[in-house]
Amino acid sequence: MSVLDPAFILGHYNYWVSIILIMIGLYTLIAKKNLIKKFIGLNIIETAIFLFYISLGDIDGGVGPILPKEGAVADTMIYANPLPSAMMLTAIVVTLCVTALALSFAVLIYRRYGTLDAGRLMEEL
Amino acid sequence: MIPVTDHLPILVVMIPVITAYITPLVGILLKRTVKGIAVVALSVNLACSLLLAHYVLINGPISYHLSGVPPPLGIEFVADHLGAVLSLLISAITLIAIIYLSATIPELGKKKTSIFYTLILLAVGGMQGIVLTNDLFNLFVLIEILAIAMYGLVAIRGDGKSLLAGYKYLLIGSAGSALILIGTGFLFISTGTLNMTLMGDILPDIINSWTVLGGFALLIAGLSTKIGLFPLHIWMPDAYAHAPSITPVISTLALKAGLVALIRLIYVIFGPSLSAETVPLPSVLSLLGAVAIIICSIVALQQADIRRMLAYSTGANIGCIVLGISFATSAGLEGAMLHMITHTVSKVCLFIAADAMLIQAGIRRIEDFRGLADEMPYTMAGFSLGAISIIGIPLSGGFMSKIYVANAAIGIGLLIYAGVILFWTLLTALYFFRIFRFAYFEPSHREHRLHETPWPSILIILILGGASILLGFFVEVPMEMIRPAAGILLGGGI
Repeated sequence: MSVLDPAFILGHYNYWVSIILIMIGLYTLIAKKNLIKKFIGLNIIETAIFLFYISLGDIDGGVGPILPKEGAVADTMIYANPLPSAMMLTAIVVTLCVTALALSFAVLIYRRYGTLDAGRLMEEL
Repeated sequence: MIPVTDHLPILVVMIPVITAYITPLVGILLKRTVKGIAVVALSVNLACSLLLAHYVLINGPISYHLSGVPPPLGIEFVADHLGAVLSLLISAITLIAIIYLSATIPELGKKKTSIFYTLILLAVGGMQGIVLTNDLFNLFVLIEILAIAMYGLVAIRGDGKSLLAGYKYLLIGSAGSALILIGTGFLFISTGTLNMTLMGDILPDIINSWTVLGGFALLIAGLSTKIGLFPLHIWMPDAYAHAPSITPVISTLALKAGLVALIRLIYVIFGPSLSAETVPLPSVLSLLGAVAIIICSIVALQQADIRRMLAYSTGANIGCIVLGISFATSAGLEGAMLHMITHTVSKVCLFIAADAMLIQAGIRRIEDFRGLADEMPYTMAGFSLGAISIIGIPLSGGFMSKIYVANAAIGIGLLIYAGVILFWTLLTALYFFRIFRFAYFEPSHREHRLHETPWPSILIILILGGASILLGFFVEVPMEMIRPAAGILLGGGI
């Protein structure tokens, strides 16, 4: 299948969305001056990565990888890969920790300097 | 066999981590015991690392399966020669750092003492895990554990500048972690496994896929923020200048742990065959390393603050190690690993000596070194020994490792990089001789005479300084571990 095939592009829309989100996040991280907005950009990147991973594991019509009840037809079921979701649970916890740390730094920095403007704060350093 | 030896790889990681969870609780009840607990935990950790290194040296690499589940499904720890020797280095240096820390006047308030030790122990656990793990996602988690502890250690003083330095480090480090996470996803989906050795078996067939190469590039870029490879070293000078004394010491080790991850990524996952054909790895990484060496040294020349100067010097040394790694020959790899060891010992000696001078005499700027050899002769002697090794004056430890890397460059016909190392030695000599001139040949301008550092600190500084020189004479001792390590890695891991 060609990369320019419309069916390919539309069929992989979740990957496109995650790439666009990563770009938005990267732009926010670089262009915004406010320290908290910079970190929001980073959070957008991380969220886009979660979306990317979960798309990797999913499959059209896939269900959770749980053994069916007795009597159900097991052969016709398609399972989603649970490993990316499990990895993302860990990554979400890690991101949450870093976010909490960053926000507490931002609070303390605001108390010391009365501003969150990166340009002015980096002159202090 | 005793059951304990079977579980050494996990013990080395879990002892500091579990102690890190105990210390805050103990810190609430019995404040004074925290130091003791940390010292005991790190001593036990050092003993385990020694046993592990001894075991690996005699019996070869250990593959340890967490919870007893074998690799395709479970997480695997591999204690090969590289992991064992770095694990030993990490536990030995952190134990020395902790002893130094508890022997000196507490620089932070009493309230923060237990948190400080908790963060150090957590960082040690993270580093030990990074050098031993053989699972790519596990590596990401351990890198994050180390990084979060490091952000805390940089900012723990709580004044404005250290918080800003910490935030800068946090933003750069988290962006790097995000890149590592995407890269891991790319490789995971291409190979269907997270185990590095298994990935290494699968990848040669699909090495031309853009997904694999993209994942490789993302992982290299992400790790570069962690190891402070030029131009992503910019967090280092601020973090080192404003953090409390011991943070640069732990960070020097953290950079080495990141370099081990880089070595594993290049040699275990991708294998050196990659370098020649598909990706021009030597030309890209060697160029980055060489540029790091030159630019960081030139910037270090212009610094007035001693800790900033040492931070840029670290940036240049990281460049040298990356240069050695990128040659993809056993000589280059051996040189890089030897330089990891000699640089750690000498740079830790310099940081601890600089910190002793700061605490004892408030010396922060290079001009303040005037007449210091007269007033603090032993501290300055230790500092000089470390500096001699960092410069690479013949017969010191740093000289031997630089010669190894330069020889490797000549060995594959890249004379230019040997020239870069020679030029770098001259630049390093320039900025350290400036300090020597002030300390040894110029009179003090201070109104009152300074007192020498207390003897426990002097002892630690002199031990480290002596070790950094003696490594040059007994270079065969680390090489005994490094040679098989390079052999195993060039063979694509165990």
